[in-house]
Amino acid sequence: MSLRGIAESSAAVAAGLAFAGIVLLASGVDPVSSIVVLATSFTYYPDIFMVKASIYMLTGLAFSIPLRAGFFNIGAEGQLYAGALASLAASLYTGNPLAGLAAGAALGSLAGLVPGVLRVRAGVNEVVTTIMVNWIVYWSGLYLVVAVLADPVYPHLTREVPESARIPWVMGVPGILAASTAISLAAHAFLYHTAPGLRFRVMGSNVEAARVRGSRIGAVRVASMAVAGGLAGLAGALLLQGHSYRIDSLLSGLRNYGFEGIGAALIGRNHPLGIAGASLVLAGLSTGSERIQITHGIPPELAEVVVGVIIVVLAAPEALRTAYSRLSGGRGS
Amino acid sequence: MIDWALGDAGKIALLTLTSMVPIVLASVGEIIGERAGVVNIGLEGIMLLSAWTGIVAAIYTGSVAAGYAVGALTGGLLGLAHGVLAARLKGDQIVAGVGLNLVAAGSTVVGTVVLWGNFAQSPTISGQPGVVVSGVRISPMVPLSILAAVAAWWLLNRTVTGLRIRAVGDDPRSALALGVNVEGVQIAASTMAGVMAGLAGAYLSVDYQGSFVRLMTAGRGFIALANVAFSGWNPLLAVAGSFIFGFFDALAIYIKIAAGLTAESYLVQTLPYIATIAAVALVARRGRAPRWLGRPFRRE
Repeated sequence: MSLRGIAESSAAVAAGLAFAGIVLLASGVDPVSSIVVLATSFTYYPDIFMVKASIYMLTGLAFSIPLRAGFFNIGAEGQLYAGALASLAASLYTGNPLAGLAAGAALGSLAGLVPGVLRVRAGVNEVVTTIMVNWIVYWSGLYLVVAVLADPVYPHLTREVPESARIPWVMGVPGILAASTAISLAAHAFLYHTAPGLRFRVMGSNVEAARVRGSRIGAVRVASMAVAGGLAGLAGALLLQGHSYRIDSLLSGLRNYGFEGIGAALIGRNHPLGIAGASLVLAGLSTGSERIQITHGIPPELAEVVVGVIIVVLAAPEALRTAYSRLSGGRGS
Repeated sequence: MIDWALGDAGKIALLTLTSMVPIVLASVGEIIGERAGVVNIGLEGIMLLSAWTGIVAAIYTGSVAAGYAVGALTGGLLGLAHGVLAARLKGDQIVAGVGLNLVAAGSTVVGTVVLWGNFAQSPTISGQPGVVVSGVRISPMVPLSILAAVAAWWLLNRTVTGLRIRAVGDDPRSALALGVNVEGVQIAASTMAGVMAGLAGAYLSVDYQGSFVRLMTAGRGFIALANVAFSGWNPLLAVAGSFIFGFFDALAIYIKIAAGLTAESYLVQTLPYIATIAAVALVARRGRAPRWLGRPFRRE
């Protein structure tokens, strides 16, 4: 990540918090004390903070990898639901943690593969199909939770992941954080230290040149969607087997990790290690937003607003650059 | 009983007329925007925010018309902001739309909790105008939205303004050489797309449901985007497309009511989304997208 990249991302985060301040002020809440709560209370819930960071790392990669190949995967949300559902089913029936993770990654991958194939083969815009798949998985998931996986004692919850299939915590640190960190490092190593990784990056930055050289762009793009879906699916499986163990009948414990992962990817400038750092920032915000409900009566969805504004600001880097060059007396580029 | 005389097919057809309205409005507006080269995948968010501001206005003034006006204004402002970001700041239009959707999803929940103290929905309003046929109220928006599609077709294909819009979206360099204010046309078209999406959102809350419900747009903004491609960027064909998408929406509602609230009704809810993917996959390569769609245009 370049220095300018870090500066732009920081400015975007500041803009997101400032906008949240406006929303809070309009809601009749003291913006200063509530923003302080939002930004700092992740220390109250270190467990949730670490879990959230692990998940954003993977959903961030799930947006970032296809983006490098020129595809917008805004389906990590549904891919994560699919992964969590498959992981629960496989864990329940086999009691094996690896079977759960594999099933989660596989179904997530399929949910990413379908829009990828439809785009390459039939020219269907992947932005539309990934969102449609999100909704299909959401409603099918509600059906599975209520009709197939429900706990006979608590019908609004599914049965629990059996002890044998859970991913352990070691000295207060979730095993899934180690898994996500390892995957982020592996993605970094692949992209920046291997020949295929280099070819993939070059293809992303210049599709026409890659086409002239005879790269199989369509196949690479489909593969990038399958990998992205697999990562988001794995994120769902890790969330379930390493933290929540059950799914509720509104899927509320799974919500928004996919969409906010887009924020992690953009704040982290599409760089695996940058995304890991950005995931810590987002996890902090998201965890803080759960406490702001207790202290100020504002729902945790405030975090979504902050992340949304960050994404909008990062969509227009020239606005930031223009502002910067004005501030520095016209010397900035 | 007229219900029996009309039968199931008639009832579903009437429900289709009411459920296609937001798709018609949002896709007709988006066609104007996209013909000028601006794509807005934040339609979903615009609809959701306008549904929320619209119901707030309708509740506090007691007027459905005020709800529509505030919804249209909300949409117009967001469309204007998106147009400025796309045309002036040369921003990434897709990424901006993603952000807008997230802002809308979050802020409408915050607003609902702050105003009405619950996460799920607003109070319900009544007194919407319309003609009731066989128990289904047909809002004046049904004919008005179709009229808007005809007007948009006429604007795009029979007026100088429409020629300018299409030129900007297809070949901005030549349009600029002929003295067209490329950025101005794009911002205006994006604003128009926002106004129409705002009306679509207001229809959902103020008119169709009578209340705001969390995430009530339920992907309709994206279905409208699919419909834009499905129609080949033609507002008249977009009405036909909306009828198809509205049909599956209505069918899901009908089956749900007929079958009662069983777990299987969740599966029925997937119908409109599956139908959308199928429909777009079948016709995807037929229509020709505006050549400069979604690409930032830089004067050199």
